[in-house]
Amino acid sequence: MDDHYEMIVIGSGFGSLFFIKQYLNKKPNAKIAVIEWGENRSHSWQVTNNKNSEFSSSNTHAQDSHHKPWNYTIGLGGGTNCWFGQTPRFIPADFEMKSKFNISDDWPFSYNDLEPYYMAAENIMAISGSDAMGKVSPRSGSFPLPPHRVSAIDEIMMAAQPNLHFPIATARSPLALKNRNQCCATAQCNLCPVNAKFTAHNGLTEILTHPNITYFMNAQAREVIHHNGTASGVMYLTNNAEERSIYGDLIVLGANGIQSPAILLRSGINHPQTGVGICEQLGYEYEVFLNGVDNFGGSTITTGLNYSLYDSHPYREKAGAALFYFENRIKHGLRLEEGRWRQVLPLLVAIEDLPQTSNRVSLNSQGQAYVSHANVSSYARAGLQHVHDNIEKVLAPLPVEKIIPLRERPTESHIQCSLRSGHDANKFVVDGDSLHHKMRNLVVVGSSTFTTCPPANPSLTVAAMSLRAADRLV
Amino acid sequence: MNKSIERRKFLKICAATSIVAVLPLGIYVLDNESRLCQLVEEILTKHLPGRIILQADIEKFSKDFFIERYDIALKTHIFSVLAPLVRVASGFDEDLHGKIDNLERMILTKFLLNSDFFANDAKKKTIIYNGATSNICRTKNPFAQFLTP
Ligand SMILES: Cc1cc2nc3c(=O)[nH]c(=O)nc-3n(C[C@H](O)[C@H](O)[C@H](O)COP(=O)(O)OP(=O)(O)OC[C@H]3O[C@@H](n4cnc5c(N)ncnc54)[C@H](O)[C@@H]3O)c2cc1C
Ligand code: SF4
Repeated sequence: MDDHYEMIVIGSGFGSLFFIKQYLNKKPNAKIAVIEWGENRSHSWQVTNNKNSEFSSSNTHAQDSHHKPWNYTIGLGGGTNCWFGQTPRFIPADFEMKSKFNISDDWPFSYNDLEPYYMAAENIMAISGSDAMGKVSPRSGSFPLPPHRVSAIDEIMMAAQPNLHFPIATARSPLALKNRNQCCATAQCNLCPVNAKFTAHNGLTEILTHPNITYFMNAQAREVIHHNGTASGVMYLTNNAEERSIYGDLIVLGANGIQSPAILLRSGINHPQTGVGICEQLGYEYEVFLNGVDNFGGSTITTGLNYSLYDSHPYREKAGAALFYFENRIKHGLRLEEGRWRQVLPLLVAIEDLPQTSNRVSLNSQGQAYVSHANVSSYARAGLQHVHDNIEKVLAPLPVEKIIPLRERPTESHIQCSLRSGHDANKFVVDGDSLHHKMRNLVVVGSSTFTTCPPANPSLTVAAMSLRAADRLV
Repeated sequence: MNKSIERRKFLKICAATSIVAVLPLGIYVLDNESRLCQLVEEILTKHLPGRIILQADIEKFSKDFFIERYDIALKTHIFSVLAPLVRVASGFDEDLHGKIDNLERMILTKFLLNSDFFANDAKKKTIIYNGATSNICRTKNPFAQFLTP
């Protein structure tokens, strides 16, 4: 039968493509279909049109207009197009929140279980970073690319806090590669003008052009078809709103943290936790005025990561951990004083949130994804307060003139925990191998499956989890 | 309560409000470009004392700046017609970060980054405006230093 595939994958972002990559490593002859809602938009189309896709996030899901916005790309490559390429790993404690801090839940696998796949994902994306980072996120090998040049500020911080301050881990290449140019610190990474960061288009072309894969573009997956607890296909809508179906033995759901739960809800694959817990980090911006140290001399937009309130966070039982991003981009402007133009540090802090049952993805009366997210948790709020209380201590090695708290960021553009993974089939939607607890030939990939919401960026972990899931399945 | 008096009062308030609202728009349409340019010149002169910038460069820069930042052109214009004391007290608006300081930083930063200033180690007396950068590279960083293979 022509429309029967060994595997049907919904979506083509981080979760989907890394799963396919590992699957094909093990089964190179597998016949695969990918159902993708968006278009195939090349890097040059995106730069010329000043957008990643013709879809806007706000048109593809509904929500209360007073609630925070959510940001994602609908199109071939998904979030690999619009992301900024920040790729810190999580730290071991992130996977053991319950056992270590009596907070939320443990993940169904450990950091050590994921480590080989972190290595593999870093190699696939040619990640740049310093092996010193192994002090917080242990490593079995070196980063494939050397670290970026850091700023003078990072140098001071690294000398004073060698176990807590590191050059950024990033998919923005510090050197020209065969398929990517050198990052030139222009700070437009969602539309990188020089094609310096990893994207599906420059780093996974072999998957996007693979002869065994049929891509159905402009195809909005609506439902997973299933009978007697087994998934058998996908029903999708074409551009002309025609309903079509294709069939397969294994279904991989990799839409995003909003669309994946909506597809499950429309399909009637009823797990009470579907869509429950959607969250992301709470972001906050500061500006720090310095005495006599010039910033902006590093080679990319963010040059340093500080783990003072993350790895060695003594109050993680009570307050969310925080990761500091030392910015090398002239975000709030130069200073006005003659000769002191560069003595300023834009600082971004991402604070861990927790999945809450009050925040969820459901369906509206038209069957469209509807996000209710009224508030971040009191745990995240306590984390922000902890940052306010301790920022002076964190920045003590620097000649600080004044620290200006600026604002909370509306979104970190990460969508997590809406189909959480865990061992307990009643409490979690997917298991430790990314299989749906109620349907054993349905794999769910992507940041929706995160159990908790650590402060570090999610996509490297999404990629590593997909590589692991495919490895364990095949 | 006398309803007709209340209504008259209400109409008066409406009329007054609309005059106040329309006035800056009118002024904006009439003398927008030169007003904004004058404000830009004041800011650059204040923060770059002793430097020379050609009038034509200031005009060109001002035009380019407010084409790119069309979103703040009208607000800046209203801002520029307010008396300095009112400007600071008004707290004005979030996008200008509530303070004239931030508007000044925005303008000074954009001008310096798009000029030959830093390329000449901030040493030359005369600053030449290079023209607007492409929309894509909005915040290029002239201080960045790169790895060499
Ligand atoms: C501006 C921006 C900057 C970011 N920067 C970073 C960063 O620096 N570091 C980092 O780690 N993360 C970053 N992220 C987050 C990152 O993009 C996501 O974490 C990541 O893409 C999640 O992977 P995913 O596979 O879950 O979803 P996605 O990558 O979003 O993939 C979902 C795929 O499903 C498709 N799809 C959706 N619905 C349907 C449907 N109904 N039918 C068919 N196809 C569908 C989409 O088109 C897409 O291809 C950023 C995000 C944004 C928006
Ligand atoms: S900083 Fe500039 S060159 Fe580097 S990845 Fe971002 S947009 Fe591309």
